[in-house]
Order: sequence, then structure tokens, then C-alpha cells
Amino acid sequence: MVINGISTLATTLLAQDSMSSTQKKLNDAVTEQSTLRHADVGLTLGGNVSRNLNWRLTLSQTTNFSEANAQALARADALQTSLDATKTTASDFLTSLAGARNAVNGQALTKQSSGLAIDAVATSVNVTYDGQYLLGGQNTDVAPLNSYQGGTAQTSFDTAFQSFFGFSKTDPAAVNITAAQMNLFLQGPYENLFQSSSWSANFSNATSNNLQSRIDNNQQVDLSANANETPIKDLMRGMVAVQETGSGQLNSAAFQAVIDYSMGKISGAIQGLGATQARVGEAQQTVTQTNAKLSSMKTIVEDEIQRTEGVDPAEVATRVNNLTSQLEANYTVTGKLAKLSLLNYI
Amino acid sequence: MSGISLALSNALSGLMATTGQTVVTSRNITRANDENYTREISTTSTSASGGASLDPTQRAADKKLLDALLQSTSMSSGQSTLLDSITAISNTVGDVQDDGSVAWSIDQFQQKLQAVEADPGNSTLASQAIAGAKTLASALNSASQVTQAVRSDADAGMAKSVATINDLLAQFQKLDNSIAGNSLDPDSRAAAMDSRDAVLKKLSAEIGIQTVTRSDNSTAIYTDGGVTLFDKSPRLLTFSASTTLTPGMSGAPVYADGVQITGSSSPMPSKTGNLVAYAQVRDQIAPTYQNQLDEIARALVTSFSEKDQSASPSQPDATGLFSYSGSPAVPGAALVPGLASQIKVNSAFDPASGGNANLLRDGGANGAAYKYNTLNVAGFQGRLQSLAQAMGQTQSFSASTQLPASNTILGLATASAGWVEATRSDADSKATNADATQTRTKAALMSATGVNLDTEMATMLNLEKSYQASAKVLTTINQMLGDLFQVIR
Repeated sequence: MVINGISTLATTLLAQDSMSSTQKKLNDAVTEQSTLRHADVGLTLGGNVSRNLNWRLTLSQTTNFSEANAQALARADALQTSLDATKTTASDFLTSLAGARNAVNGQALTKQSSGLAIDAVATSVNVTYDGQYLLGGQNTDVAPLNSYQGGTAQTSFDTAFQSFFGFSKTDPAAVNITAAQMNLFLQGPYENLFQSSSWSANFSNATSNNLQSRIDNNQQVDLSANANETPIKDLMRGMVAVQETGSGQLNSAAFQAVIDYSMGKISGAIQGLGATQARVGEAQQTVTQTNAKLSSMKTIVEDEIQRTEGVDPAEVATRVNNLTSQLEANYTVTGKLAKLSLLNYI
Repeated sequence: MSGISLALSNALSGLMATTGQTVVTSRNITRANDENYTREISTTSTSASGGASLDPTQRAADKKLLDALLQSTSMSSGQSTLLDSITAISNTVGDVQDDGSVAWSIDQFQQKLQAVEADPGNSTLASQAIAGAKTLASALNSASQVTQAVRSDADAGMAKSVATINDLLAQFQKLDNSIAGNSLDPDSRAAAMDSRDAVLKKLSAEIGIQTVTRSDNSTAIYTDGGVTLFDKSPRLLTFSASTTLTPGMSGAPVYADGVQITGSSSPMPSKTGNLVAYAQVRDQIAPTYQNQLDEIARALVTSFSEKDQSASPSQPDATGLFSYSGSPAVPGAALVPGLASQIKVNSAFDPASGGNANLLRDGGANGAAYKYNTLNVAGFQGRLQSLAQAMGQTQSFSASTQLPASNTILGLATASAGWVEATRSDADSKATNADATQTRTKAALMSATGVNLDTEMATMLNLEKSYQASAKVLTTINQMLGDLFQVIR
């Protein structure tokens, strides 16, 4: 075996190879320095890509839910305001009923105040937010409460009154209605006007199922209320009774029976509205808690992503320096080797 | 007198031998930069008359190192071909932070669906959800298209590889036969052997080979699976390229000497080289990814299908938002090859083609019997809730995805992305290692058989001195003879 030094061509090829691999490493390091992430994240993570992809999608969903939840909370706030307004109308009306019960012109007073109250309740119940009727249940594009005056609701009352007493509500004969008769009417045919099918046919366009809000992937809460709930019905019962029965011609006993019935319904409605507000408030609380949970999860996931995809700025800066020196050394040595030939000495 | 004439003839033989050695050295120097050139060694020995005679030129060949190089070349070129194809597939996944991938499209669509669920009466949100669905469908379509392009390219690559191998075997035959036939002069013979080694190196890039050198210097080639490629005459490879490769359709295998050498049913499969890498991409990697995409598409089509809502349902389930070539029939529980390339948004839902985005909320794309929103309310949530639920539910997927059988749609998509990147990462590290091994074995072979210019220059100096000395002897003898003639005269 003839001992032969390393082949001249091999020296050159090896030097080229080593230089190009160092250059590639330097290139990657410079990219990492500017992005502070691995040059090829997919390659570095390998099979863990599915884990990181999950984290990133979770992050995007979390952000999305946070925003959606903020909107849902704003919508719930609007609902609370509307319920507040309805409650205020109800308690004002209740006060006026108490005052009118024994007043001489009580019937005229209550006729006027109940008319105003009916309109005010219709306004606060038919409130919209972002183009949706808040109390419409899932029927969000139609006003939940129909106008009482001149609507089918009023006709249904007129029919019920006529068939019970045998004369129309404007008939002067109303003066003969006794308190007992009045109570019988109010708790019988009148009450039925506000039962589900008649209520939906004449008074309300709302559906009884509320819009649910999805506050994270697996949780839905009810941040809504609808006009078919008992407090709204009771409110209408109380107001319509005072507005319509006898048209100012009742004797005082019958009138007081109406007022008593109405006050009972309206105070019940105020309590009921309070309960609805409390229910929505609790749901709002849940959303706020979920948002806090989402935000802490977001921080954790962001940290994990940074930990697995990011590079240490100090480490990458050192690496760039080292690779630069290495490449310079490569150039120097290759240059010197190229000059080192016997040819130069003979 | 015989002493002088002997000295004269010895000096002359010295000149001749030196000239011969110079020829070899000059050839070494000339071809120092040819990586296929094997250094030649020229030595002299004492002739019968006591002069110098030139030995037959020897090649500094090293079969062990050459075999190592052939093996590492097959590994290296195969792995790099594999890596290229997988990288093309992994481009459909992209960076985890970029939203072009299938997984991201599913996620974005899911969020848009949730937005509609929160506000079902808002038809702008519904249209946005439909747009999200279209993005998702086209992400699946294009991923599927890329996968099929990779498969077709691999099939074309196999055809090209087979053609190259057959061409190289034909070249090899000429060279090998002339070397074995002893018809060449020593110089041409060395050159022919260099060329033959070069052909082997090229051949090894295409397919893993083993060589056996016979006593007459002829070489037989076998694949690394043991099938004869060449023994005195080439055994040509046969392969029929596919004109089109649709998902679920398998390409033709390659045969050598009548034996199938690629594919799972091969009795003696080849293990390394471009040809095998292409076959692996075409028959295993790309189809698996296609299966994953098809299952994602199938889950989407199924999840969004509509059920007969009549009091006494009589109609079969029908595809809803997502449709495919088999619509309105809903695909069964088994994988449907190519579904990912067919999935699209039903135009009945698409406002851009005159459809109604609110069908997403109401249902009924397949007729009144399928309508969910029977009350016709704008805020109808029931259908949207069940769709959102279906998106989050675990479903069963085919084992041919090589992924966990039970997963959510999004879970399958992220697992698929992970599978692609794991495959790429693995191929990349193997390619890097194979490349390093190849570089090392190449350097080792070149060190053993290549030319070192310094050595050749030193030899040249020796030869120059030796030539000068022989010439000096000649002139001295000439002088002596001249002196002798002077005396005689």
C-alpha cells in the first residue's frame, strides 16, 4: 500500500462542505435572532406540532370567547337596564294605585296612570340592542309586546267582559257590578286571557326559550329573559284590569276589588322582575368568572408556546457570534491551505 | 567494450522508464480535479539485463471504500428525495402560527359558527360563517391537490429513476464487457474502470446496490434486496407509469429480473435509493395524509348533514352545508377516498351563488321536511347548537389515518399536522445523518484513491533528477566513446 496524503480535491470539497453547512447554520441563527422563534418551528417540534397547534387554536378560541363574552355582558347590562325601567314603572304605578284606592276621582286617575304605565312597559320591554329585541326570546326580530290599545288583546278583553257580564265595558250598567262578581270575573275569564295560548295570540310575539350564550367551548349560560315570563304577564294583568274594567263607572266596592287585585299582581310582578334580574346577574357573574379563567389560561398557554417555540435571545446572539467566528476561521484556513502547495516552492 | 554498451543500454532504459513514469504522473496531475479518477501508480523494477523496466500501471482502487460510498450514496439520495416530498406535503401545514392550514381553517370556521349561534338573527354573521366554510373546504381541496401532485410527481420520479437505471445498466454493460474481455490496452483499461466506478456511483443514487467482482474483473450488480441487476448482461427494470393517480388508486410496482422490488407485496424489496423513496412517498406517506384529509372532510360532511324533521321521519339523512360528489346521500362510517378533494359548500347556503346563508340556522336545504326552524323565528338556536356540539364531539376515524381512532374534527386535524411534521422531522434528521455519512465515506475514498498534488510534484522532482542523471550518463558515455575514437585516430 502506497501511503498517499489526503487527496487535494477532497481537501477542497471538504472545506466547501464545512463552509456551506456553517453558512446554513448562520443563516438559521440570524433568522432566529430576528424572529426570536426557531428557524423552522415545524422541524424543531416534530410530532409536538399537534400539541402546539392545539395551544395556538386554544389561544385563538380563548381570545374569541373573551370578546364574545364581553359582548354578551354588554347585552345583559342592556337587559338589566330595561328590567330596571320596567320595575320602576311598576312601582310608580303601584304607588299611584295605593293613592287612588280611596280617592274620589280614583277611577279617572287610575285610568290615566294605567294607560301611561301600559305604554311605558311596552317601551321598556320592547327594547332593542344591536338590532335584537332583548325580551323576544328567540324571536329576536319582532317586538315582543303588541300594542294593547286597539289590538287583538283589547278585543279579547272586550269579548270576555261582554260574555261574563252580559253588557259591554262602556255600558252604564257596570255600576251594578258587585265586588264579588268583579273578583269572580278577574280570577276567572280575565285571568285566562293571559294564559299561554291566548297570551301568545294577543299580547306577545316572544318565544319562551331564551337565546343561550356560549361562554366557552363546553358551557352555555342564559343571559336573557323573555316577555312570556310570569312577572311581565302579571304586570299586564294588573295594568289592564285597572285600565279596562268598568270604564270609570264602577261602584267603589267593585273598584276597590279591582285595585286590590291589581296591586297584588303588580307587587308580585315587581318581585318576579327582581328575581329575573338576580338570575341574569348570577349568569353575568358566571361569565365574568369564566373570563377570568380564560384570561389566566391564555397567559399559561402563551408561556408554553413561548417556551417551546421561542429561542433564548442571549443564546442565539452568542450562537451568531460563534458561527461568524467559525466561518471566518474556515475562510482563513481554506485560504492558507490553497496557498500551501509544493508548486510555490519549485 | 560490452561494459560501455551495457551502460549505454541501461541509461537508455532509465530514460524510457522515467518517461513512462512521467506520463503517469502527468495524467495524475491533469485529472487531479476529477472526483471519479483513481490515482495511478507506476513503479519500475530491474530488467533481466540489469536496466530499469516499467511495471504495469496500477490503479489505487479500494473496493471496500467504494462499496461503503455506494451504500451511503443510496441512503443519502433516497433520504433527501424523501425529505423533498415530505417538505412539499408539510407546506400544507405551514407554520403553527399561520392560519392557512386545515386545522386553523376548522378553528376559524368554528368561531364564526359560534358567533352565529350567539346572534342567530344576524345574517351578516351567517354569511361570514359560510365564507369560513368555503375557506375550510378550499383548504382541504388544496391540501388534497398538493398531496396528489406529490404522488404524481413521485410516480413520474419512479419512471425517470427506472429509465436512468436502465440507461446506466446499458452503459455499464459496454464498460464491463470491454474490461472483462481483456481487449483494452492498460491505459484505456484504467480509464474504463474509472468510468465503470462512476456509473456505479450514479446507479447507487437511484437504487441501493451491492457489487461482486469476478476473477476476470467483470462486476455483477445486485439490489440491496438481493435481486440481480447485472451479470454479464443487464436485467432491465420494468415499470408502467400511471397517467393519472386519483386518491385511493395505487400506482404500479417496479420489477427487476421479473421480481417485484417495490411495494409491500414485494418478496425481495429494495431498501434505499431514489426509486424506493419515490415509491414510499407514492404508496405510503402521501396516501396516509390523503386518508387523514378525507376523514376530516367526511366528518365535516356528516356533522353538517340534515335529518328529516317531520313528526314521523321518512326521508334519509341528507348532506347540508358541506356537499360532495355523492350528495345528497350522507357518507357512511367508512373512509371515502378523495372526499377532501371534492368537499365544497352547498350553493344553496352560499349568498355569493344566490343561496341563503340563514339555511345554516334554519336547515331545510333538502326540502321543507328537513327544516328545523319550524316556528320561523330569527333567533332560532336549536340547529346551531347541535352543529356546534357536533363540531366538539369525538367521532370514530379510520385506522388508515394512522392516528388515534377517536377524536374531534379539530383534534384529528391537529393530530394530522403533528403526524406530517413528525414525519418531516424524522426524514430531516435521517437525511442529515445520511448526508454526513456520505460526505465522510466520499472523503475516505478520495483520500485513498485520489490525487495529492504535492505527492505528484515530489514524484515529478524525483523523476526529473533521475532523467537528468540518466542523460548525464549518456553524455558521459558519449564523451568516453569520443575520447576512445580520438585515440584510435
